[in-house]
Amino acid sequence: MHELSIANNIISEVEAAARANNVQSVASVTLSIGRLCGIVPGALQFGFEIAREGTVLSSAKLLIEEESVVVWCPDGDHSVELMDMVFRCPVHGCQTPEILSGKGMEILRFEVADSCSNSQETIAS
Amino acid sequence: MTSPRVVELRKNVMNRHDRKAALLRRYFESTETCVINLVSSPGTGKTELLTEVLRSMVGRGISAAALVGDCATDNDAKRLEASGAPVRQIVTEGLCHLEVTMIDQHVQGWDLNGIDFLFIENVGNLVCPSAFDLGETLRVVLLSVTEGEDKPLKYPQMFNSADLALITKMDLSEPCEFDLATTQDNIETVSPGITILETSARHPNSVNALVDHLIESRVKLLETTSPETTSPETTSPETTSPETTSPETTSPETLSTA
Repeated sequence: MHELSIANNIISEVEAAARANNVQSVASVTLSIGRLCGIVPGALQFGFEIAREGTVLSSAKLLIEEESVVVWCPDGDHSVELMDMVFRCPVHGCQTPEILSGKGMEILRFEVADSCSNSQETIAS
Repeated sequence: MTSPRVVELRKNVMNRHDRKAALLRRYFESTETCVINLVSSPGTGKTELLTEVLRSMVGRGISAAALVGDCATDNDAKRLEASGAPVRQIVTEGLCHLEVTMIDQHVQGWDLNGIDFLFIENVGNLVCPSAFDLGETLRVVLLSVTEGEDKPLKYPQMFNSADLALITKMDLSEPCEFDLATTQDNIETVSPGITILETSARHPNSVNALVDHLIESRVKLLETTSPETTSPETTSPETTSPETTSPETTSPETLSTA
Protein backbone atom coordinates (compact mmCIF):
# COMPACT_ATOMS: atom_id res chain seq x y z
CA MET A 1 0.00 0.00 0.00
CA HIS A 2 2.66 2.51 -1.04
CA GLU A 3 -0.16 4.47 -2.68
CA LEU A 4 -0.77 6.24 0.65
CA SER A 5 2.80 7.61 0.55
CA ILE A 6 2.25 8.68 -3.06
CA ALA A 7 -1.07 10.35 -2.09
CA ASN A 8 0.72 12.30 0.66
CA ASN A 9 3.27 13.51 -1.90
CA ILE A 10 0.49 14.66 -4.25
CA ILE A 11 -1.22 16.55 -1.45
CA SER A 12 1.90 18.35 -0.26
CA GLU A 13 2.79 19.42 -3.82
CA VAL A 14 -0.74 20.68 -4.55
CA GLU A 15 -1.00 22.37 -1.13
CA ALA A 16 2.21 24.30 -1.79
CA ALA A 17 0.99 25.37 -5.25
CA ALA A 18 -2.45 26.29 -3.86
CA ARG A 19 -0.83 28.48 -1.21
CA ALA A 20 1.34 30.16 -3.84
CA ASN A 21 -1.76 30.85 -5.95
CA ASN A 22 -3.87 32.02 -2.98
CA VAL A 23 -6.33 29.17 -3.47
CA GLN A 24 -8.61 28.28 -0.53
CA SER A 25 -10.12 25.08 -1.87
CA VAL A 26 -9.27 22.63 -4.62
CA ALA A 27 -12.05 20.97 -6.65
CA SER A 28 -10.00 18.38 -8.50
CA VAL A 29 -6.46 17.22 -9.18
CA THR A 30 -5.49 15.58 -12.48
CA LEU A 31 -2.60 13.14 -12.56
CA SER A 32 -0.83 11.28 -15.29
CA ILE A 33 0.44 7.90 -14.09
CA GLY A 34 2.65 5.69 -16.22
CA ARG A 35 1.73 2.04 -16.47
CA LEU A 36 5.27 1.15 -15.40
CA CYS A 37 4.93 2.94 -12.05
CA GLY A 38 3.22 0.04 -10.35
CA ILE A 39 0.42 2.25 -9.03
CA VAL A 40 -3.03 0.76 -8.56
CA PRO A 41 -5.48 3.61 -9.34
CA GLY A 42 -8.12 2.28 -6.90
CA ALA A 43 -5.58 2.10 -4.09
CA LEU A 44 -4.35 5.60 -4.90
CA GLN A 45 -7.95 6.92 -4.77
CA PHE A 46 -8.38 5.25 -1.38
CA GLY A 47 -5.11 6.68 -0.07
CA PHE A 48 -5.98 10.13 -1.44
CA GLU A 49 -9.32 10.16 0.37
CA ILE A 50 -7.54 9.49 3.68
CA ALA A 51 -4.64 11.88 3.08
CA ARG A 52 -6.74 14.87 1.89
CA GLU A 53 -8.55 15.26 5.27
CA GLY A 54 -8.00 18.65 6.86
CA THR A 55 -6.24 20.14 3.83
CA VAL A 56 -7.33 22.52 1.05
CA LEU A 57 -7.99 19.33 -0.90
CA SER A 58 -10.54 17.98 1.62
CA SER A 59 -13.31 17.88 -1.00
CA ALA A 60 -11.10 17.43 -4.07
CA LYS A 61 -11.65 14.73 -6.67
CA LEU A 62 -8.69 12.78 -7.98
CA LEU A 63 -8.69 12.29 -11.77
CA ILE A 64 -6.15 9.82 -13.14
CA GLU A 65 -5.00 9.70 -16.75
CA GLU A 66 -3.00 6.64 -17.72
CA GLU A 67 0.30 7.15 -19.54
CA SER A 68 0.93 4.27 -21.93
CA VAL A 69 4.22 2.43 -22.26
CA VAL A 70 6.10 3.56 -25.38
CA VAL A 71 9.45 2.02 -26.31
CA TRP A 72 12.00 2.46 -29.08
CA CYS A 73 12.36 -0.35 -31.62
CA PRO A 74 16.06 -0.46 -32.64
CA ASP A 75 15.46 -2.74 -35.65
CA GLY A 76 12.68 -0.72 -37.24
CA ASP A 77 13.88 2.70 -36.00
CA HIS A 78 10.48 3.71 -34.67
CA SER A 79 8.66 4.19 -31.39
CA VAL A 80 5.92 1.72 -30.54
CA GLU A 81 3.31 1.40 -27.80
CA LEU A 82 3.35 -1.80 -25.77
CA MET A 83 -0.05 -3.18 -24.85
CA ASP A 84 1.38 -5.58 -22.27
CA MET A 85 4.64 -5.78 -20.35
CA VAL A 86 6.47 -7.79 -22.99
CA PHE A 87 9.44 -5.64 -24.02
CA ARG A 88 9.59 -6.75 -27.62
CA CYS A 89 8.59 -4.83 -30.72
CA PRO A 90 5.19 -6.17 -31.86
CA VAL A 91 6.23 -5.52 -35.49
CA HIS A 92 9.90 -6.58 -35.61
CA GLY A 93 10.07 -8.96 -32.66
CA CYS A 94 13.33 -7.48 -31.34
CA GLN A 95 14.01 -6.54 -27.73
CA THR A 96 13.15 -2.98 -26.78
CA PRO A 97 15.16 -1.94 -23.72
CA GLU A 98 14.78 1.80 -24.29
CA ILE A 99 11.66 3.17 -22.62
CA LEU A 100 10.33 6.46 -23.98
CA SER A 101 7.30 6.83 -21.71
CA GLY A 102 5.34 4.92 -19.09
CA LYS A 103 7.45 5.66 -16.01
CA GLY A 104 6.14 9.17 -15.33
CA MET A 105 4.07 10.19 -12.33
CA GLU A 106 3.00 13.76 -12.86
CA ILE A 107 0.52 16.18 -11.35
CA LEU A 108 -0.82 17.84 -14.49
CA ARG A 109 -3.15 20.46 -13.03
CA PHE A 110 -5.68 21.28 -10.37
CA GLU A 111 -8.99 23.04 -10.53
CA VAL A 112 -9.92 25.75 -8.02
CA ALA A 113 -13.20 25.08 -6.20
CA ASP A 114 -14.51 28.29 -4.72
CA SER A 115 -15.68 30.88 -7.18
CA CYS A 116 -15.90 33.20 -4.14
CA SER A 117 -12.17 33.07 -3.49
CA ASN A 118 -11.62 35.86 -6.00
CA SER A 119 -14.19 38.07 -4.33
CA GLN A 120 -12.69 37.28 -0.91
CA GLU A 121 -9.32 38.35 -2.24
CA THR A 122 -10.75 41.65 -3.43
CA ILE A 123 -12.47 42.25 -0.08
CA ALA A 124 -9.29 41.48 1.78
CA SER A 125 -7.25 43.83 -0.36
CA MET B 1 -20.54 33.14 -14.27
CA THR B 2 -16.81 32.64 -14.72
CA SER B 3 -15.40 29.27 -15.71
CA PRO B 4 -13.52 27.41 -12.94
CA ARG B 5 -9.90 28.45 -12.62
CA VAL B 6 -7.39 25.78 -13.55
CA VAL B 7 -3.78 25.86 -12.34
CA GLU B 8 -1.38 24.02 -14.65
CA LEU B 9 1.20 22.37 -12.39
CA ARG B 10 3.15 19.82 -14.47
CA LYS B 11 5.05 18.57 -11.44
CA ASN B 12 6.52 15.16 -10.74
CA VAL B 13 4.60 13.50 -7.90
CA MET B 14 7.88 12.22 -6.46
CA ASN B 15 9.53 15.64 -6.81
CA ARG B 16 10.64 16.07 -3.18
CA HIS B 17 11.47 12.41 -2.71
CA ASP B 18 13.51 12.21 -5.93
CA ARG B 19 15.35 15.45 -5.16
CA LYS B 20 16.38 14.05 -1.79
CA ALA B 21 17.42 10.80 -3.47
CA ALA B 22 19.55 12.75 -5.96
CA LEU B 23 21.31 14.58 -3.10
CA LEU B 24 21.97 11.33 -1.29
CA ARG B 25 23.28 9.75 -4.52
CA ARG B 26 25.73 12.65 -4.90
CA TYR B 27 26.88 12.10 -1.30
CA PHE B 28 27.43 8.38 -1.94
CA GLU B 29 29.39 9.27 -5.08
CA SER B 30 31.58 11.66 -3.07
CA THR B 31 32.50 8.89 -0.61
CA GLU B 32 32.90 6.41 -3.53
CA THR B 33 30.43 4.08 -1.82
CA CYS B 34 28.57 1.71 -4.11
CA VAL B 35 25.05 1.52 -2.66
CA ILE B 36 23.06 -1.57 -3.53
CA ASN B 37 19.31 -1.72 -2.99
CA LEU B 38 18.22 -5.36 -2.63
CA VAL B 39 14.59 -6.02 -3.48
CA SER B 40 12.59 -9.26 -3.57
CA SER B 41 9.56 -11.03 -2.15
CA PRO B 42 9.71 -12.11 1.50
CA GLY B 43 11.55 -15.43 1.77
CA THR B 44 13.73 -15.15 -1.33
CA GLY B 45 16.84 -15.29 0.81
CA LYS B 46 18.05 -11.69 0.79
CA THR B 47 19.37 -11.85 4.36
CA GLU B 48 21.04 -15.24 3.93
CA LEU B 49 22.80 -14.28 0.71
CA LEU B 50 23.74 -10.83 2.01
CA THR B 51 25.25 -12.34 5.18
CA GLU B 52 27.50 -14.52 3.02
CA VAL B 53 28.37 -11.65 0.66
CA LEU B 54 29.33 -9.47 3.64
CA ARG B 55 31.33 -12.31 5.18
CA SER B 56 33.18 -12.84 1.89
CA MET B 57 33.89 -9.11 1.55
CA VAL B 58 35.09 -8.81 5.16
CA GLY B 59 37.36 -11.84 4.55
CA ARG B 60 38.81 -10.21 1.44
CA GLY B 61 39.48 -6.94 3.23
CA ILE B 62 36.73 -5.03 1.39
CA SER B 63 34.86 -2.62 3.64
CA ALA B 64 31.13 -3.22 3.44
CA ALA B 65 28.15 -2.30 5.60
CA ALA B 66 24.42 -2.92 5.57
CA LEU B 67 21.17 -1.17 6.33
CA VAL B 68 18.24 -3.51 6.69
CA GLY B 69 14.57 -2.60 6.54
CA ASP B 70 11.78 -4.60 8.11
CA CYS B 71 8.21 -3.88 9.12
CA ALA B 72 8.96 -5.16 12.65
CA THR B 73 11.81 -6.84 14.61
CA ASP B 74 15.60 -6.50 14.33
CA ASN B 75 16.09 -10.21 13.58
CA ASP B 76 17.68 -9.61 10.19
CA ALA B 77 20.19 -7.10 11.56
CA LYS B 78 21.28 -9.67 14.15
CA ARG B 79 21.71 -12.31 11.44
CA LEU B 80 23.69 -9.94 9.22
CA GLU B 81 25.95 -8.88 12.12
CA ALA B 82 27.30 -12.44 12.22
CA SER B 83 29.25 -11.51 9.05
CA GLY B 84 31.41 -9.06 11.01
CA ALA B 85 30.27 -6.05 8.95
CA PRO B 86 28.63 -2.99 10.54
CA VAL B 87 24.83 -3.22 10.28
CA ARG B 88 21.99 -0.83 11.07
CA GLN B 89 18.31 -1.78 11.28
CA ILE B 90 15.44 0.33 9.99
CA VAL B 91 12.10 -0.67 11.48
CA THR B 92 9.42 0.73 9.19
CA GLU B 93 6.58 0.07 11.66
CA GLY B 94 4.36 -1.50 9.07
CA LEU B 95 5.37 0.55 6.04
CA CYS B 96 5.76 -1.77 3.05
CA HIS B 97 8.86 -0.14 1.54
CA LEU B 98 11.88 2.00 2.43
CA GLU B 99 11.85 5.71 1.61
CA VAL B 100 14.81 7.98 1.04
CA THR B 101 14.25 9.95 4.28
CA MET B 102 14.75 6.72 6.26
CA ILE B 103 18.04 6.06 4.49
CA ASP B 104 19.08 9.66 5.07
CA GLN B 105 18.31 9.42 8.81
CA HIS B 106 20.10 6.11 9.23
CA VAL B 107 23.31 7.12 7.45
CA GLN B 108 23.56 10.29 9.59
CA GLY B 109 26.71 10.19 11.67
CA TRP B 110 27.99 7.17 9.78
CA ASP B 111 31.28 7.99 8.09
CA LEU B 112 30.95 6.36 4.68
CA ASN B 113 34.43 7.44 3.57
CA GLY B 114 36.29 4.21 3.14
CA ILE B 115 33.13 2.10 2.95
CA ASP B 116 33.18 0.59 -0.54
CA PHE B 117 29.78 -1.11 -0.41
CA LEU B 118 26.63 -0.20 1.46
CA PHE B 119 23.86 -2.76 1.03
CA ILE B 120 20.29 -1.72 1.67
CA GLU B 121 18.06 -4.72 2.25
CA ASN B 122 14.60 -3.44 1.40
CA VAL B 123 11.35 -4.68 2.93
CA GLY B 124 10.34 -7.99 1.33
CA ASN B 125 7.85 -6.82 -1.31
CA LEU B 126 7.96 -6.97 -5.11
CA VAL B 127 5.54 -4.11 -5.71
CA CYS B 128 5.94 -1.04 -3.54
CA PRO B 129 9.73 -0.55 -3.33
CA SER B 130 9.92 -0.20 -7.14
CA ALA B 131 8.55 3.36 -7.01
CA PHE B 132 11.04 4.66 -4.44
CA ASP B 133 14.51 5.77 -5.44
CA LEU B 134 16.79 5.48 -2.39
CA GLY B 135 19.76 7.16 -4.04
CA GLU B 136 21.19 3.73 -4.73
CA THR B 137 23.93 3.02 -7.25
CA LEU B 138 22.46 -0.33 -8.27
CA ARG B 139 19.08 -1.93 -7.78
CA VAL B 140 19.34 -5.68 -7.50
CA VAL B 141 16.24 -7.86 -7.72
CA LEU B 142 16.31 -11.39 -6.30
CA LEU B 143 14.15 -14.35 -7.23
CA SER B 144 14.49 -17.79 -5.64
CA VAL B 145 14.06 -21.16 -7.33
CA THR B 146 11.16 -21.93 -4.98
CA GLU B 147 9.05 -19.03 -6.22
CA GLY B 148 7.97 -19.98 -9.72
CA GLU B 149 9.40 -19.12 -13.10
CA ASP B 150 6.67 -16.64 -14.01
CA LYS B 151 7.32 -14.20 -11.16
CA PRO B 152 9.06 -11.64 -13.43
CA LEU B 153 5.95 -11.57 -15.64
CA LYS B 154 3.74 -11.03 -12.59
CA TYR B 155 5.88 -8.18 -11.23
CA PRO B 156 7.24 -6.53 -14.41
CA GLN B 157 7.72 -3.06 -12.91
CA MET B 158 10.18 -4.28 -10.29
CA PHE B 159 12.21 -6.45 -12.65
CA ASN B 160 12.22 -3.69 -15.25
CA SER B 161 13.55 -1.13 -12.78
CA ALA B 162 16.46 -3.35 -11.64
CA ASP B 163 20.07 -3.21 -12.84
CA LEU B 164 20.94 -6.79 -11.92
CA ALA B 165 18.86 -9.93 -11.29
CA LEU B 166 19.96 -12.74 -8.98
CA ILE B 167 18.43 -16.18 -8.94
CA THR B 168 18.87 -17.45 -5.37
CA LYS B 169 18.83 -20.88 -3.70
CA MET B 170 20.24 -22.54 -6.83
CA ASP B 171 21.28 -25.46 -4.59
CA LEU B 172 17.55 -26.29 -4.39
CA SER B 173 16.88 -26.10 -8.11
CA GLU B 174 16.74 -29.86 -8.68
CA PRO B 175 14.24 -30.81 -5.95
CA CYS B 176 12.15 -27.78 -6.98
CA GLU B 177 12.31 -28.85 -10.65
CA PHE B 178 13.30 -25.27 -11.37
CA ASP B 179 13.36 -24.29 -15.04
CA LEU B 180 16.31 -21.90 -15.33
CA ALA B 181 15.98 -21.20 -19.07
CA THR B 182 12.31 -20.22 -18.78
CA THR B 183 13.06 -17.98 -15.80
CA GLN B 184 15.88 -16.25 -17.67
CA ASP B 185 13.57 -15.77 -20.67
CA ASN B 186 10.89 -14.28 -18.45
CA ILE B 187 13.32 -11.86 -16.82
CA GLU B 188 14.61 -10.85 -20.29
CA THR B 189 11.02 -10.36 -21.48
CA VAL B 190 10.31 -7.64 -18.90
CA SER B 191 13.87 -6.30 -18.62
CA PRO B 192 15.83 -6.77 -21.86
CA GLY B 193 19.59 -6.78 -21.52
CA ILE B 194 19.70 -7.16 -17.72
CA THR B 195 22.57 -9.25 -16.27
CA ILE B 196 21.30 -12.41 -14.55
CA LEU B 197 23.46 -14.32 -12.07
CA GLU B 198 22.75 -17.68 -10.44
CA THR B 199 23.59 -17.75 -6.73
CA SER B 200 23.49 -19.95 -3.68
CA ALA B 201 24.31 -18.74 -0.18
CA ARG B 202 25.45 -22.33 0.55
CA HIS B 203 28.12 -22.33 -2.14
CA PRO B 204 31.12 -20.06 -1.44
CA ASN B 205 32.11 -20.14 -5.13
CA SER B 206 28.83 -18.59 -6.23
CA VAL B 207 29.04 -15.98 -3.44
CA ASN B 208 32.59 -15.11 -4.51
CA ALA B 209 31.52 -14.83 -8.15
CA LEU B 210 28.79 -12.40 -7.09
CA VAL B 211 31.29 -10.38 -5.01
CA ASP B 212 33.65 -10.27 -8.03
CA HIS B 213 30.80 -9.02 -10.21
CA LEU B 214 29.91 -6.28 -7.68
CA ILE B 215 33.55 -5.18 -7.38
CA GLU B 216 33.78 -4.95 -11.18
CA SER B 217 30.54 -2.98 -11.37
CA ARG B 218 31.81 -0.55 -8.71
CA VAL B 219 35.06 0.04 -10.58
CA LYS B 220 33.16 0.67 -13.85
CA LEU B 221 30.72 3.03 -12.13
CA LEU B 222 33.51 4.97 -10.43
CA GLU B 223 35.12 5.49 -13.82
CA THR B 224 31.90 6.89 -15.25
CA THR B 225 30.70 8.95 -12.27
CA SER B 226 33.85 10.67 -11.05
CA PRO B 227 35.64 12.36 -13.93
CA GLU B 228 38.46 14.40 -12.27
CA THR B 229 36.07 15.72 -9.57
CA THR B 230 37.48 13.88 -6.54
CA SER B 231 37.62 16.49 -3.80
CA PRO B 232 40.67 16.49 -1.51
CA GLU B 233 38.68 15.59 1.62
CA THR B 234 37.37 12.36 0.09
CA THR B 235 40.89 11.11 -0.68
CA SER B 236 42.62 9.64 2.34
CA PRO B 237 46.42 10.03 2.60
CA GLU B 238 47.04 6.28 2.18
CA THR B 239 45.20 6.15 -1.12
CA THR B 240 46.89 9.19 -2.63
CA SER B 241 49.01 7.69 -5.35
CA PRO B 242 51.98 9.30 -7.12
CA GLU B 243 50.05 9.53 -10.41
CA THR B 244 47.75 12.26 -9.05
CA THR B 245 49.54 14.80 -11.22
CA SER B 246 47.58 14.74 -14.43
CA PRO B 247 49.48 14.33 -17.72
CA GLU B 248 47.93 17.52 -19.17
CA THR B 249 49.57 19.72 -16.54
CA THR B 250 52.94 18.01 -16.65
CA SER B 251 55.22 18.84 -19.53
CA PRO B 252 57.18 16.04 -21.27
CA GLU B 253 60.47 17.58 -20.04
CA THR B 254 59.57 17.30 -16.38
CA LEU B 255 58.29 13.76 -16.94
CA SER B 256 61.59 12.69 -18.49
CA THR B 257 63.65 14.12 -15.64
CA ALA B 258 61.49 12.39 -13.02
